[in-house]
Formats: sequence, C-alpha cells, structure tokens
Amino acid sequence: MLRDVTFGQYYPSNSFVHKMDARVKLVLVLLYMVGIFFIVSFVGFAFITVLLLTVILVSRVPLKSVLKSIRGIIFLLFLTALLNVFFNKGDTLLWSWWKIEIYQEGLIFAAKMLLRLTYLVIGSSILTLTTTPVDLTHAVESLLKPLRIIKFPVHEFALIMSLTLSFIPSLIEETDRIIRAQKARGADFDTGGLIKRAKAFVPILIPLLVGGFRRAEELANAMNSRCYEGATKRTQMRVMKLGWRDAVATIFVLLFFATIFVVYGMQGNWGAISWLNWLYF
Amino acid sequence: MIIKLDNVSYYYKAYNDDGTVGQAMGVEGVSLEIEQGSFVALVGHNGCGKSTLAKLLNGLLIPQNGVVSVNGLDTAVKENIFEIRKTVGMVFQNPDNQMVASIVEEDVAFGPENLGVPQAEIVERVYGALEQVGMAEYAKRSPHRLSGGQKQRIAIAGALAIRPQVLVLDESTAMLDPLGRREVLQVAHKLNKAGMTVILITHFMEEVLDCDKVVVMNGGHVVKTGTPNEIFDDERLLEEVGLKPPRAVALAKKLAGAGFAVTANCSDAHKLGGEVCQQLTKK
Amino acid sequence: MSTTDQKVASAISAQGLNFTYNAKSPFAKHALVDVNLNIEQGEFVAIVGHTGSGKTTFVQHLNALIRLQSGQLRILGRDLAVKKPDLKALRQEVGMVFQYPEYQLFADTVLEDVCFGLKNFGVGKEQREEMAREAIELVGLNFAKIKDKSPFDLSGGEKRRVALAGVLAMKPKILVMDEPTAGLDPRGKREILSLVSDINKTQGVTVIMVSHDMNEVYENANRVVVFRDGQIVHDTTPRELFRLEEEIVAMNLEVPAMAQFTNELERQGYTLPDNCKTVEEVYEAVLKLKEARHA
Repeated sequence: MLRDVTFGQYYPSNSFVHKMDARVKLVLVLLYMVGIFFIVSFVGFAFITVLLLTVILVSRVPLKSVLKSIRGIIFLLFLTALLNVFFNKGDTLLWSWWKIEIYQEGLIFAAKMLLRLTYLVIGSSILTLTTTPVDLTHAVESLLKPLRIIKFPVHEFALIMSLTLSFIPSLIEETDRIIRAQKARGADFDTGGLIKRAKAFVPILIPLLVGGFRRAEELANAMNSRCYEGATKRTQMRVMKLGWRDAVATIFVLLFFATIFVVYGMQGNWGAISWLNWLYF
Repeated sequence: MIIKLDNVSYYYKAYNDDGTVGQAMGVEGVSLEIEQGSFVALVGHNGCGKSTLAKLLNGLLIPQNGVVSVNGLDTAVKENIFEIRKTVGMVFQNPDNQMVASIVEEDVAFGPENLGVPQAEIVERVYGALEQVGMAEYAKRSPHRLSGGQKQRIAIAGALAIRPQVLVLDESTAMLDPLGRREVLQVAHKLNKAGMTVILITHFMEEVLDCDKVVVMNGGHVVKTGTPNEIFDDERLLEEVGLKPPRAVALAKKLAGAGFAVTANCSDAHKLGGEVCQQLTKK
Repeated sequence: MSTTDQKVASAISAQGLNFTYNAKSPFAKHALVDVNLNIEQGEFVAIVGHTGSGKTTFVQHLNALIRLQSGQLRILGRDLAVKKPDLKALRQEVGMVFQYPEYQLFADTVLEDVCFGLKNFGVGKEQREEMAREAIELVGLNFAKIKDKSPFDLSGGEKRRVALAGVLAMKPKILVMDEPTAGLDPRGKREILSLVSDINKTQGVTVIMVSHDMNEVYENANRVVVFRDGQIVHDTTPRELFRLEEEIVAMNLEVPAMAQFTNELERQGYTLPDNCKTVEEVYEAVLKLKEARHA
C-alpha cells in the first residue's frame, strides 16, 4: 500500500511543538543548522544533545520515529566519517599501513563531523515530523513574501508546491497501475542490460506523460472555473498567528545558543572555530 | 432565462490525415434556454458535443458563431468572464484532477480566495459549502483517501463556495460507482430545491428521471428537448441516438404496449411488479 | 505441464488465501481473510463488493501481480505457492484488463501496442501481426484502417477496445477484468459486454469480471462472488443473490431493476424462469404467464 505522501513523515500529535507556528519552526531550525557549525567541542555536542532530547520530549514524537530519519542515510554518514579519518592529518600518528595513516586528530575530527551531520538531520526531521507539508508550504510562502519586491513570483511558487503535494498521491497510484498493467502484458523491468532496462520504461513513461497532459488540462479548466486569475487580488483563508509558544520556544533556543557561545568566549575558544569546517561544506 | 444560447457553434482545431490543419465539430447551431431554478439534464453519447456545450456555458470556450449569455452577459466579452464564472460554477469528471490543495478545507477555499473575499467570510463560506454537501466533518482531512463520491461532493463544495446561481455537473458522475453517483445526485437535487439552477451532463438515463427538462444531443446538435417522459416516449429518437430508457421504464413501456394497465414510465420496478400481479390475478 | 492436465484442472483453485498489507506495521490491513474459491474453466464469474472489500487484491493474485503470502493457489493447475512460479507462462494464460485500460496505451501505432504483449512473450514478428489482426477484428475494429493510427488519436471507446485487443491477442485462457465498462457511455458498455460474453461463449475463455454495475452483473454473469471485509460472503448465481434485497442494500450495492421486478412477482406467487434477466426476457416471460392464466 502506498504511503500517505500528503503528510510526508508527519507524526500527528497535539504537542507544544506541533502547535507552534510553522514559520517560527522553520526559522529556528535554520538557525539551529547554522548554529551547529559553530559547535566544535564534545562538550558543545553534549549541550546540543540535551537540547534535542528536550525538544523531542516536548514534541511527544517517539524517539524511534526520529531515529528512523537517519536510517536512510546512515551509509552516507559513515562514509563521510571514514573519509575524514583518512584524509585529516595531524601530529599524533596512531596507526599506519602502506600509504594509509590514521591520526588522533583525524579520528576526533571525523567523530565530530559524524555528530554534526547526524544532529543536522535529526533537527530537520523534528521539523517535518511536527509540521505537515501543507503548513510548511504556507510557511515558505509567508517567509518569501519580501522577495516580491524583486518580482519573485512567491504566490505562483507556493501554488506549484501546493499543487504538487495534492497531485503526488494520484500520480503514484497511476504509476503503480501502469506498471502492473504492463507487467501483466509480460513487460520485464528487472532483467537485461542497462539499455534494455531503460527501454523497458518507455511503456510506463509515455502513458504517464500523456496522462499528465490530460490532468493538466482538466486542472486548468477547474482552476479557471473557480475564478483563478493569478495573485493580483487574492486573499487567504489560512491565517498564521504567532502565539506564546512561539515566543517561549524562540527565547529558549536563542538563550541556549547564547549560553554555549558565551561559555566558549570566556574560555577564549573562538579561534577553535576552524574555517576548515566551512570549506568542507 | 439565466442562460441563453443563440445559434451557437464551436469547432475544434484538428489535424487531417495529411497533416494539414482542419476543423472538428464540437457543437453546431445550438439554441437553448435555461430557466432559473430548473434542473436540466444534457444527455448523449461520448462525442455528441455535450461537454463542449458545458464549457461554453462559463466561457472556458468561446463560440465562433452565435452568442452565449449568462444573466445577459455575453461570454465573448472578456470583461464579463469573471462575473460569469462567479455565476456559473462547474464540476468536472475526474475528481482527482480538480483538487488544488491537499487539505479539504483549503481546496474549497480556493474559489473565495480568488475572489478576494475577506478571511472571516472565506471560513464561513467554506464551512457553509461543506455543510451543504454533508462533508463538514472531513474539513481537515486529505481528499485522496476519500471515496469518489466524497471527492466529487468536495468539488461541488468548491464550486458552491463561490456562491454561484448555476451549477454545471460536467459528467461528474461518469467515473463513480453507483453509491457515489447516488450521493452526488442527492446533493444536486437538494441544492436545486433550495433554488440552485442545476445542469447535469450525463450519459446515464437513470439520472434524468427526476429532471425538469432533458436536452438530447447527437453529433453536435440538440436533437430534442422535453420532459423525461416525452424523451422516453420518443422511441425512434432514442433508437437513433443509441440511448435506452432505464430498464424499469423500458419494461413498463413494453407491458403497456401488450395491454397491461401500468403507470406510464414507471421507474419503480417493485411498483411495476405489483401492478402486473394485480392484473394477472383478476384476469 | 501437459495439455491433458490443463483440461481437467480448474481454472482457479484458491484455498486458505490470506493477505495482509504492511504486515508487521501499525498500519497492517488484512485485505484477504481465508479465501476459498474454485472456478471451473468456461465460467463467467462476476466479483462484486464495496471499495476496500478485498476484491481487487484477490484478482491481482490471479496473475501474480501480488505474491502469495499464505494459502494455496493454483491457476490452470499451476501451483503459485512454489518459490519461483513461471510468471511469463502464467501471465500469457491469464489476461488482465485493468480499470481504464486505455490509459496504458503507449506505442506509436495501434498495431505496435497490440503486439506489445506478444513480443514480450516471444512470439515471432509475422505470427505476432497475424494474432494482432485477429484480436483487433475480434474487438470490432477495422484492422486495415486502424493499425497504423496513433492510439492517442482514437475516440475513448476505440481506445478501450484497442487496449482490450492488446490482452486478447495473447489468447488467454482466463480473462480477468477490473470494471471493464467504467466510464463508457451506454453504447460502449453494451459493445464491450457483448464482446466479452461472446468470447466466453464461443471460445470457452473463463471470464472473471469485477463490477460495480449490478445490472450488468445480473445480465451477464452465471455466478457472483461477493467480497466483504476480505472475505467471501456469497458465492452463488445472480438470481439467487439478488433475491436477498435487504442484505444487498445493506451492503451498499444496488438491486438490478429486473431482479426487483421478478422478486415482487415471486413474492406474490408468480414465478418467472430463473434465466429471465434482461428486459426482453422478463417481458416475454410475463406474456407467457398472462397467456397461461387466460388459457
């Protein structure tokens, strides 16, 4: 059975985090993502761990669901870490064989990189677990509004996102049905060389494309019939309101990072924020 | 007359076999008047021009010949289009292809949002419309998990939120199962009782039973207009356009022809059976 | 497998079929619960039930588009419970027509599209075209006129028939159809149904048709299987099934008009023969009753 794409990995609940304004969540997560690159010590990561655990606890999303989000990219994470182990040289050589040398500094750097990437993914998945794609779309539209000044088509951009979301489920269903139908006619998608396999997809792609045009035409008619004339004088049903939760959360996150940085500052550790990190990304 | 068609023709662009551009007839020489508050069915086979006619009613297509006017406004005048579409709401065949949002209430809100209605009133219109089609409890749901009939009712709500005077159902029941068809028809009749003009485009003859007026189309022309009974009685015409009355009605006709005294064009098979039994008994 | 084996084998023999979507997850859904069904070759079986009743899941088992989870399933004697069933051979014997099959057309020409299945099953070029010609003529289209046309230039009814030809060209012994008349106008419906009926009667092809249109089930099938909540709740003749008016209505299905009429007559003590199902047949039967009374 097909996954409910409309809600992505959304985990329904009525928690504090779920009730927050999507715009605030989006901004705070972006802030967190930037902030995490300034964390360079294990103590710092310990603090972040506390922050993440607190947020997860408050959001009432099971830890298991959160961790699921890293499962898909676990290979990538470890590959990155491994490469960092080998390519970062330092003073303390721990082990060497042929041309491969492992330094203590390399190990530490790799471990931190692993933590940073993992926490990055966890942070963003907390956003998607507690916010529906629809809310995210509205948040993006709202946050991009200032770009109208430079003639960026914010409304059209958001409309495309929204239409995409609403069409994905039926597109997946249609693809599924076409694949089954061609299979029933003996189509074979699993054997043969690359070219043969690529060719095997023609009987899927063409009906999908033709269907896409048909849908687009009907959609255009439906939108026109409902008086769509572009963004000019549109109003919106959904109002996004900032509430006390948003204030509390913002203050909490800001204070958290401020504290970390003040602690760093007092220890004179600012220099430790290696610009190498920036290069890496 | 809320809608008036005067000698209207529309031709599609089509490619001939030799690659040159030619014409394919959509509708030709159609004159029709739709009375305010009536329930009109437009029937005919695929390709008979009924969907073309539907799209002419709210300016999705503009006739090459003749005039379509809605409340006296000519659809060919560009400035009128917005007002015309506010008057004539339209629901199409495939419910999946007319959803613009992935949450029911936001989809229904699309029309009023386009009209620039103030926020508080949008909410009122959306919930009012969902109430009318009996889908209010689904407001926060995602439409794609709902049944075909429910999706179509949401599409109707989307049209109602614009507060139109006419509702055109352009083959909106064609893809539904019998239950879904019943749901949609019930809603359409309920709206009609409350004063809405309904134009039902269909090829199911069972659906035209309770209509005020039936317009039969064939080959791009209107071939007959009348009450359902008048249409069912014209056997030669039905034969010609390949339509058949609903089964019960067809049986009632045959029985009447064989000398049974049965209610003319009775669509209730049980009642018909009862009447036949009576006459078999009394002999 | 020898041909004699196939002659004696049932078309479909299912025992203890169970199927669960998303097993082991909180979203697990039991789509089939202990389904037992035996269909002989040459039958015309209608499968009805509400959306989500399991009928589509069942039907997709029949050519292994859904793999067996538990239970026994034999198609024309071929055991599908084995580790690696011969899918190609199976799918050649079990033709499957999906809902709105015209949406799966893809080739440049009608001929090429109808040949797609044959090509996949390894039929040679010349034989392929001959079989395609037969199939296209069988569905009532003019081969010479239509073979080089693009399938996308045809009318809706023609497209549906080309799609059907693409399945019939493989000369399946079992034809499985998921709502073959959905979305068609009455004329298109009648044409497809009489075509299918014909194939069943003259060629002995076993037909399994999922349908929502009870009138069409009543008039065409000689057996109806009703699914509800993943189980078979009725397996009988259409006439028997539609005597149970209240139960049918409670399942949100419709009672065919001619069944209502016949039931009313039966209730009042007048019996029509069981094979009177169309308007014409019922009418003739009533006339006979009348004559018998007057004689």
